[in-house]
Amino acid sequence: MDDSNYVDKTITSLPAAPSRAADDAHYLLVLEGRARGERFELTGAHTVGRDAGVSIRLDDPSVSRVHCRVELRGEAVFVIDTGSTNGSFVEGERVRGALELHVGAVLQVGDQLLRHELRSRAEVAREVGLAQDLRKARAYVSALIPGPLNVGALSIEWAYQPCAALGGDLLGYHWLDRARLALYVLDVCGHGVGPAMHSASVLNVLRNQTLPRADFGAPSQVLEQLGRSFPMESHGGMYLTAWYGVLDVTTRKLRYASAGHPPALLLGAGPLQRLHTKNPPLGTIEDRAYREAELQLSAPSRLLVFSDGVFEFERRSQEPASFESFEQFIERERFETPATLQRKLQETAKTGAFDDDFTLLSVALRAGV
Amino acid sequence: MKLQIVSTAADQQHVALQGRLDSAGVDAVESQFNAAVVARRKPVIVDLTQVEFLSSMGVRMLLSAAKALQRAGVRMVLVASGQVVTTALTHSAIDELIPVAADVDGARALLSSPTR
Repeated sequence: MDDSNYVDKTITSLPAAPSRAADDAHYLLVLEGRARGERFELTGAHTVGRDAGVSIRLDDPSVSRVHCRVELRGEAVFVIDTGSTNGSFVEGERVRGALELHVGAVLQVGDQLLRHELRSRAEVAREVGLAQDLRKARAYVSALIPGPLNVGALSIEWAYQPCAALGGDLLGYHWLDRARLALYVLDVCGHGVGPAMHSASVLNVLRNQTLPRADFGAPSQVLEQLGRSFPMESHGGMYLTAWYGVLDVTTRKLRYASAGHPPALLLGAGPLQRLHTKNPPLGTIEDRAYREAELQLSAPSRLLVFSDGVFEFERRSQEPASFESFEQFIERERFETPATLQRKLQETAKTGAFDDDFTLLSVALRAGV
Repeated sequence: MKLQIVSTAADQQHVALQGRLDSAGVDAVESQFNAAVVARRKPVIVDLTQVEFLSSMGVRMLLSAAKALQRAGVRMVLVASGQVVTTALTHSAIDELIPVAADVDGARALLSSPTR
């Protein structure tokens, strides 16, 4: 065989190398705010705002209805403010006239931050596929949470919103017998697939009552055995905090224990009451007896069990993200449902979104039923 | 978020954290913190008096370091005085795993005491 022919054939049989430039596209990626993670491809002239008719919609009160225009001119992207209330900024510089948004630069629109990216469509498509897998995983995790309950004097509702595609928080409740209801909120430190898998494992153990040597009516035993079953050293360094209670709906007695978890709050006739027992997070220490407490509930009253994400977020005001300020908010604000409370709190968030998973379980006891 | 090495001696060291110890703060400081605190395997005072906010991620960083040192038979003591940080330590019950003092002198005393 002639070598030169071989070489010629080999070269001509290869497909043309894809031109990276041909596959590349300009995008705006939302870095902060309610639409965090959303990516918009720039194909020409786009309007940005919170109005339903704009091409890049950002649902945030700090964004004007039609806030600015973003235009792809050749391979350059320009921002033109359209008389917005709060202004448009490119890398901190206020946009007057048309200002170029270079690749990697950040555009601030109200409280929303968007980064200009130049990326291959194939790479973005792979990311979209991964995001779909995460959505399926999220659907599975959400399916583990029981629906609202409204029986006799008892009403249970909840709000649950992971801050990433998957969160480390979970909540649940189930009947132990005809009178006693187990209630729980879990928080595995961190976000993403690992913590979500860990919290789902723990939740399934609680739901199915498969914990060895634990009376599920005894909160201290449940937490103690959970800690033994999920030591952080053999679970990728992850530990979890938990609040677990058992409510007897016939006697209105509540037994509860918490482990490294914020106190639950009881709203009744008197002052707001913290329900907390001091125990370390689960999986951090072996052979530790856990403390529990018991309380006689009155009616009407409402128990709020939640994770730290409901108060650990940056506020629009300079108010600190403390448990105490959350207590004051609860005392000050009126709310009918966990969703209402969630919305009211979200309105106080600096970015319009929570920094951590938002998990809140509300257990209401009505009087005279 | 900043980490300051206040003093380092043969038998113990003293570091101070400043700023918000939340997810972003932990991302910014954890490698440096582990290099300064865990890798040296010396009794250490971690001063949190200039920490404005301590989230669960910050608690995880402190707890992981304390447990790593504990496995090497080395103590870590925290100094905390602000309400936001002390509430976070109390609610997480981390103060039952890592001794907490109100000031540096108290931390030194805890570090040199024969038992916790």
